Amino acid sequence: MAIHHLESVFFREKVAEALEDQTLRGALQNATGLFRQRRLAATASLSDWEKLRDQARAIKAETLTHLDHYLPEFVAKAESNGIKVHWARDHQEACQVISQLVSEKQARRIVKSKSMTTEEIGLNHVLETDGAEPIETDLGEWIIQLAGETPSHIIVPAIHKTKAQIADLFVDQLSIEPTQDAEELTKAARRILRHHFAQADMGISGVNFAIAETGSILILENEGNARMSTSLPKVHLAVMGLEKILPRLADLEVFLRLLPRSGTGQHLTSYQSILSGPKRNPDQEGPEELHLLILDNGRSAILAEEITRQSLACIRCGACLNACPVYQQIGGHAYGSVYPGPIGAIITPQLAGLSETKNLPYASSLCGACRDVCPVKIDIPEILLHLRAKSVEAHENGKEAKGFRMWAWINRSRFRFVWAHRLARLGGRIFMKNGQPPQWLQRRAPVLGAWAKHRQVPTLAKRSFREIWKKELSRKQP
Amino acid sequence: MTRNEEAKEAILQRVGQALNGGGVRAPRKHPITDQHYAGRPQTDLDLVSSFQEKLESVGGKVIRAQNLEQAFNELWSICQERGIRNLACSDAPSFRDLTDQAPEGLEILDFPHEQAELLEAEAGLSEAQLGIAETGTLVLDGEQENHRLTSLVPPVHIAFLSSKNIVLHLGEALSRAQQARSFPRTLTFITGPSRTADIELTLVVGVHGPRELVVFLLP
Repeated sequence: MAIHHLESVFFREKVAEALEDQTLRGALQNATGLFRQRRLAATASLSDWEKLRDQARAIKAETLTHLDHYLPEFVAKAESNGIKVHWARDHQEACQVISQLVSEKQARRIVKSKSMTTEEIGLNHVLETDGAEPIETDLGEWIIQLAGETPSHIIVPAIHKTKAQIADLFVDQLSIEPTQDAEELTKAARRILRHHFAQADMGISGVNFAIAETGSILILENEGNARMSTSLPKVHLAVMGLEKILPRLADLEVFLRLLPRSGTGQHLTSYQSILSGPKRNPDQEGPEELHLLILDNGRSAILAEEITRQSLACIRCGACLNACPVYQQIGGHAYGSVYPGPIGAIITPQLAGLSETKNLPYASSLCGACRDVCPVKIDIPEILLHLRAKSVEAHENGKEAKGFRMWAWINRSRFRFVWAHRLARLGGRIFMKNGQPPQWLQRRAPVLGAWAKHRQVPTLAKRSFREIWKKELSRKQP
Repeated sequence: MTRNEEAKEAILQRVGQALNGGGVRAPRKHPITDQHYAGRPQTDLDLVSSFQEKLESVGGKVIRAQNLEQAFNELWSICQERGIRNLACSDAPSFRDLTDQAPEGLEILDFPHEQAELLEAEAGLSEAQLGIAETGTLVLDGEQENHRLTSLVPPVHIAFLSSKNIVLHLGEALSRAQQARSFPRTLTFITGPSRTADIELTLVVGVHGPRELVVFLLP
């Protein structure tokens, strides 16, 4: 199990970089602020929003608790509808299966609609190595692909790019006339991508929901690129994580009310396609073959504990990103994973393991804004704490653990406690300058240096409370 | 055993083990027992006017027509006004033999379409089997009509909808689809024109799909 292009080990460096980037921070402030406002307005349009969230959570909990029933039920139904189902244990197997399908179908040009799961497995990279040409067709994803970057937001992948940057990119890569007009830029994208849709041998999409009862997949979108990718080419391949199941078709009523409101603040996105198989006869529209790849890649392990299981209820709306005071400052790239923000901080370590991602559970002030907006009520702070605990357990002999053991030892004895404070006070008086330890000391004591870099080091009072009590206050007692 | 069978078995085994390892599970029971999902609009809502209001709020146009003949007449004049030179029709029965009715200068492209022809079409015509008052949504059913491309590829999508077929909410539309003898292979929900806000959150309509959606509401 792993995530493609994982760079979470560089979290600190990336955060420092992001904080210096004023353009990025301005764009993030605008975008996240606007999305928060729109979400609030959209949720206020329903009187029983809270009940809706409870129902969504209950449906997801039921599905995940009995996934060993609903997943096979979905697959049996999908197969009887004529969908060819492929299974992949991890990202490598997923890429192998898709590579093989692409070569069997002799597909060269492949149009893709937005899919986090294909980002997770690094599909584009593999297809390019195979000599195929994967083309992202969601406008934001396409911009990112042209720029050779990675998405920085779940639903607005190019949130970090300004109009001027995009205009430069289009002029540079597509030789269009210079323009700063979003409408003109979008028109250019339409013209060029239409050409790709018309020529494509295969379409690859993600899946928002998979319905066990009817064996259908549902794709939500606004642009129409997913409809193009799934309707025009002869072969359609959909890629989904195994957690995307809902028991009944009727359950969509809840999730169609929740997801657009939470994501973009719309009451409903422009398009929903409920697809339940390839075309039945030559006169019908749609692809001749419909393939579905079901991916595990670490998800089944997350099911084992009830506390972590809720992570799989996520419907990828992005509301927690917009609500998060940390994301608002550092943006998506700092997390070094395709899954950014609070949800990324819990999903990435669980999918990829804590050894390379141990910074992520700490990328939070535990304020709980993410939990308050989550449409399926995932208790993200609870999972962050759980992962922090695991991370500490895994590093029992780390500096931090040693430091706390020393602290505990000192505080277990009155004598050691008093003397430790006297020493600290003395040290403070000698070394501290303007509330900061001097540079030479910070360099020599790296732990202190790292700590003091972004914080004011507290100065100890001249006398402890006990001393004051003994000398002055106790005498005033009657 | 093939690789795919092996992978399937391994994954289902992992899922089973993960779920069975943690003590007693609650019995399998769907949490919504009364079929009443939250967030439904009030039942006294006027279906037609709510549908129109919601669709217009996301940039769709609604034209009310007394009968099919009036709707077609209106359609022809819209095509002429905008200089639309060809119209790609779905295979719905009401759109058969439109060539005789269409005004001069408007070419009717009958189903099935060549892909190149469709990409050049200036408008597409389809029916909608249902409307949803809650959201101003059109529901297009692939078993009733081949709608996927005519409603998507041309820059203008014109849809005929009977007011009788407007239902109150999303749940009703889903349950209608399920009542059909065989569940449709393709079910498309359309709410307004194609849109994007991927460039600095500026709303632009007509990115990949139609920039204009016109609905003729028939009795």
